[in-house]
Amino acid sequence: MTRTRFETFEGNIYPEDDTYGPINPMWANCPMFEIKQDPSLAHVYFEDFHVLALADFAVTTTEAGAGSATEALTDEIGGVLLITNAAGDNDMDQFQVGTATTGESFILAQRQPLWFEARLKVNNASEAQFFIGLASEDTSLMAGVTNSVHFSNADGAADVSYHCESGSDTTADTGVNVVADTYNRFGIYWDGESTVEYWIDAELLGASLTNIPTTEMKVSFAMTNRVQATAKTMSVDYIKCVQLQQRAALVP
Amino acid sequence: MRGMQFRRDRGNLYAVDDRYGLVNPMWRNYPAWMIEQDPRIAHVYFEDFHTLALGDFTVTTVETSAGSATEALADAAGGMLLVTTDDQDNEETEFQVGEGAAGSHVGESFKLATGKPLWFEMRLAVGDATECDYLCGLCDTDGTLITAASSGVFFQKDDGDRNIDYHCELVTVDTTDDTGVDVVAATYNRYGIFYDGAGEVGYWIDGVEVGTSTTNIPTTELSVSFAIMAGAAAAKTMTIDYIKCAQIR
Repeated sequence: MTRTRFETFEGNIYPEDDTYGPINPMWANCPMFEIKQDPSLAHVYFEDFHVLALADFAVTTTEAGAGSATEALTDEIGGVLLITNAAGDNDMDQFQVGTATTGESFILAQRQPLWFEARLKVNNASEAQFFIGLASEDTSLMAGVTNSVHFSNADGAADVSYHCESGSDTTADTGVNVVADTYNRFGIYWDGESTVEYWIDAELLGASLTNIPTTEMKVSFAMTNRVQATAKTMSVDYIKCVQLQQRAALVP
Repeated sequence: MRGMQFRRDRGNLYAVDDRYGLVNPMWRNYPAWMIEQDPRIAHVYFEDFHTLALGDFTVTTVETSAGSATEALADAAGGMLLVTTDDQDNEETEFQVGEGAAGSHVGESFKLATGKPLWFEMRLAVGDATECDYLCGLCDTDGTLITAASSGVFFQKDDGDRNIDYHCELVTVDTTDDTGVDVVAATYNRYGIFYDGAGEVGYWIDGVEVGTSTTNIPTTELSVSFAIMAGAAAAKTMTIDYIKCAQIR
């Protein structure tokens, strides 16, 4: 049996394994071997939610009624963060990695490719409006953010839309609909030149070339109750974001 | 000297380097490359105790006297957590990865499920080989791990002997085995568990598989867990170097 093997994509060597693969093609050109070898090559944010340090995030809640949102680990295989909103319509809970005023650590800059993936689910397909991606510092992500690359669904709809915005918004219906209590993997790949690809469940769904944000951003996610005045939940399994550091020249 | 080489075990490609020692055979079929490349492949808990975030654990103490147990980093190469019980017999400190106060733990994130291989390893030492009980492994939520763990796969040493016993327990019905390895005071051992995703658990100490079990495999979610209980009227210590637990997602 030959299980693990090395393959090449865009010059990068990556592993494949018949037992556990195939890997998400979005990651095939991410130079993980070099990154593990030398910390100067990239910066990596990875949270698997086996533990929860709420101080790692700026958490903003909107609660119109008497209740309060909760953010806690849950007993679920894989390590999962469970966010439960308060019960009012439009009640919201949002997370940005870092503090309220600092921690924007990713930017879609030249010669600095970036890979982002998050796996999450919501308990209601159309009435739990979610946001996942990279965004500039903002305390009202769901109401509109200036700079971002992210996925969200519209108020009352299960359709997942992709957004790439820098003042103006390039948006696309991904063609994927949220299903209640069903995990999806949301992926973003910036090629370090001009193009942002958006992926769901390891499928490349499209790419954008306009309104690429030019400011620093944070890993961001949020969820708002829509239509029904009942608490909605969002479960986040993991988030990984990797970006190469810019180098003045190739090192021999 | 040959340096680094790639080798295969059960089809998996792993790295070995004779300058830095043999890879523990338990890890040879661990798909490390795949896990690094794609976060979907597996979920991984790793703690090396260069820092200590006590909020990452539910810590439960049993203290029958006026003193208190302590849990703190130690000045030791490698990054070490030093757990010191209070100084009376049967005083205990236990840790379960997750969150919540004692009695309200959440964060059971591993389960011995079909098709989901799991690798666990923990390196620890105790200050007294005989006069303490201790436990390490995966257990369901429990405030009395040492005396009455319910479901789990774990190693345990009992008060009054030095035998490291293996337990595979399903709702208090226990498959147990004396591993044949005895604890030595202030000496580190590596405790390993490999679940193959198909009904068999292998248990390893110091890179050697000392047995396997196929009965009473727990069916509930489990947390990384460890505990120590004093076996005499004196404070007892447990020093933990690292913990790693990885499971195919």
